[in-house]
Amino acid sequence: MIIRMLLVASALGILVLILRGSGSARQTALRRLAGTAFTLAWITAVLAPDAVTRLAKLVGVGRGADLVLYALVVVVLALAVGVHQRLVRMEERISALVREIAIRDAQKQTGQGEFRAPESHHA
Amino acid sequence: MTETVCAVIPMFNEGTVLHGVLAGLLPHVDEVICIDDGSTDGSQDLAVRAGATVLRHSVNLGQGAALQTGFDYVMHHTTHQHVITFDADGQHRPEDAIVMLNTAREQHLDVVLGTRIRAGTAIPRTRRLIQRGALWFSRRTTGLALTDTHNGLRVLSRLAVSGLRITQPGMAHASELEAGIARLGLTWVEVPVSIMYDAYSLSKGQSNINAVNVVYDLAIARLRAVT
Repeated sequence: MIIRMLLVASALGILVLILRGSGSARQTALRRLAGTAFTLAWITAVLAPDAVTRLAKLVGVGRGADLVLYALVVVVLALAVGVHQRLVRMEERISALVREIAIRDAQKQTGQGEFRAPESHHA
Repeated sequence: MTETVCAVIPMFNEGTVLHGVLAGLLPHVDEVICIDDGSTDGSQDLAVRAGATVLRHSVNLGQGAALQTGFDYVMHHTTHQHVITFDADGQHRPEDAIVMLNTAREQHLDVVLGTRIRAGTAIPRTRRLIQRGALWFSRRTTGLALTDTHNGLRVLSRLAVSGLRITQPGMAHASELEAGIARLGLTWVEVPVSIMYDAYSLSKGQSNINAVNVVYDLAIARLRAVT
């Protein structure tokens, strides 16, 4: 049935999103397009429920509501993946910042430390 | 010009044992670089007074990130030719580190890794079972046939440090290092070391359930690498 092919294709699409990883202007644009398309589809579904039922039957789903549900699952998964990736990128940026501060503020004892005199081998 | 060596020690709230660790290590190396990963017990002051160079992460990032901070510091602010990675919890012995350093120098190796696998070393049973699983997985994923894949005691040449990069902030960094060693084709050897397990260090060690996270992080990184 068509709906199965569509759902499998969308799952693979989300997998590609996972594997591709980090964001870019292109991903932002794709996300915006998808968001807009979904919003328009949702408005259409609300205003013309018969259209949804016809579409559902076309792809092999019994009811319009079921089709909406399937689509919702796909969208939620894609969103979750996107959020996770943004968090990972944010962690990387924080790490770089913290590291820079740590190195810049390096502390050494002036003179003799408790166990040996620190010698300077610094560039 | 004499070749110098430094030790890189990531630390997080190890104030109770740090003094002993530094006392044992400082006399044998030219510099000890402690990376304080957001400790709240004031151990950074202890380390500075003992004679170590201290870099402080203002927030806790993880042991992997702390090691990389140490590596960056060594490469950009020192001229040391070898780096010893050493744990702050008292499990590693300075004597083993020196043996490994001499091995690296005499045999001109990029990497010397410590291994617990040797007759007579005592490892708690549950931990050994988990290690076997991790060992098999890492051999498959990193390409390095190691007998001990999560040993924090290593000696790295300056060349090795310059080529390696840790991006996994947490405990998957050990496997990431190994994959990097394999990828760069660095020369390496394993040397038997003794790990001092006591109640303190065992309580601070990785919880076994964390193996789930390590496996997951590595699998994702591996997937990314092939796409």
